[in-house]
Amino acid sequence: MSEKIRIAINRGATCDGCDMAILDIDGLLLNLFEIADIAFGPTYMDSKYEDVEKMPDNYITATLVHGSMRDEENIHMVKLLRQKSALMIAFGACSSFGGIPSLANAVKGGMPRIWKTVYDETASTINPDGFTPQYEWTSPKGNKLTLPKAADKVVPMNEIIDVDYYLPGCPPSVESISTFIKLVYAHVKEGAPLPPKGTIVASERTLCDECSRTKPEKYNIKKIVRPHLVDLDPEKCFLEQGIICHGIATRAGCGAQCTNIGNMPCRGCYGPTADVLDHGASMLSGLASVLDMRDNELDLGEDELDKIVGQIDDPLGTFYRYSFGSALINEVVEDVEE
Amino acid sequence: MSDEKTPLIVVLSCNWCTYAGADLAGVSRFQMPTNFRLIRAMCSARIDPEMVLRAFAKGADGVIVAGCHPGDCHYISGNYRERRRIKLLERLLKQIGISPKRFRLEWISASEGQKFSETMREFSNEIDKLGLSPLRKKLIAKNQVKEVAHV
Repeated sequence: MSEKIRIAINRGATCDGCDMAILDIDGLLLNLFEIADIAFGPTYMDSKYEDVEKMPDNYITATLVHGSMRDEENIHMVKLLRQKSALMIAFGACSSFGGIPSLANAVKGGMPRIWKTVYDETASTINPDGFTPQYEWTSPKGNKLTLPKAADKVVPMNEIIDVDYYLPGCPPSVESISTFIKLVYAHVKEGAPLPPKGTIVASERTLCDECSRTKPEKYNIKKIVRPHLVDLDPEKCFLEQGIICHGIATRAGCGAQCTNIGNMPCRGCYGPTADVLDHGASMLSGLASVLDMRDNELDLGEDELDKIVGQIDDPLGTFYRYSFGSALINEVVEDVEE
Repeated sequence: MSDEKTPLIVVLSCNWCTYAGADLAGVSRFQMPTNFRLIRAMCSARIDPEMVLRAFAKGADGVIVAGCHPGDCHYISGNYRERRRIKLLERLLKQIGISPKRFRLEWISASEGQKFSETMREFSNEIDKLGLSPLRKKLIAKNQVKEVAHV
């Protein structure tokens, strides 16, 4: 057999759930290791950043990166790995669209505000001396320790470097990972062509296509309810039940596990469908258009309208749960007044 | 409009009412500011929230979405859908931190050339008072202002 390919698995700002997802592919791991060696992977093996620096360019065949770009270290590592890898793959929602960590961009006041909350204001915090992490610290013996500085904005990986493929999801489903491994396997073993650059390894359709719930002919959501406050019908479409389900604006490919098996609405971790620039706007548009349509629309006053849309408490957090980092406006700003 | 001081306004209008209204304002020679750009869609309901966000992201200082009066939609119910989206989008923009004064929904019919010119004058004054949008200031700071110039 010819020489094995080399893969690397790198972490950004992540919960490491994506690593668990890789282990979840069971038997396929054998296929993976039949063709590949792990060249670098802090979660799996002892590896030093210097080892990567010493590698020749394009030494690694494919690097999977999970987690969004939160600090200087994340950014430095993906830049370095881009240089050393032939293929860079955004693995998971964080590295593809910013993910949940990018909701930090929605905090007015940025990092100082977040630190104040975390190290001072939460109910469980006792910190009378006001200790906060320091980027630099010199020990009594004179050793200087440093921490990587946080970036102003949490962004997905494609804002920093060129990305070849995307495997969205929180985490990517076993199905998506297997599809991708099979593609690479066929490429290595049989010379099959790889998909075009920029391919998102998932479906081209929306989640509703994979969801088995019965959908009505026409939607008219009378009242928005929250999933933990009602008994969820396991057969009926969530939107029909008044529960915000992001399926209508989200890419399929996950096998609709949440809606089919979990009896939970889709939260949008597979990101926007093809040609949509802004996942949140896409969902907002779809949901608002069917929100409590009346027979007497002409008599509907502004107050009434405010009440209708006011049912959605936090539009930004709801619609951009996994994709604020890649939204058209991906940070909060401060205007002249208010 | 390539300087870094004049506010830029994007008007997203429907084909049947507001565009005709704007046309009427023009042929009636009503005075209007020159710093707005009008983009026509077939119906106000065609104007996706994405377009409004994109306008702001690209450096627009104010955005107006305009369509037929309620009850007058060429496609019967397009503007009813749009007004819900706009209401929700207003709340989203507020969370993002863009002043609500920079964004509005107007109903202007084909015969309301006068109203179109007055709306544009008034909105332009309002935006002049607010100054450049914080997102445009960021673009200018990043030296991406050329992109703004061609909006």
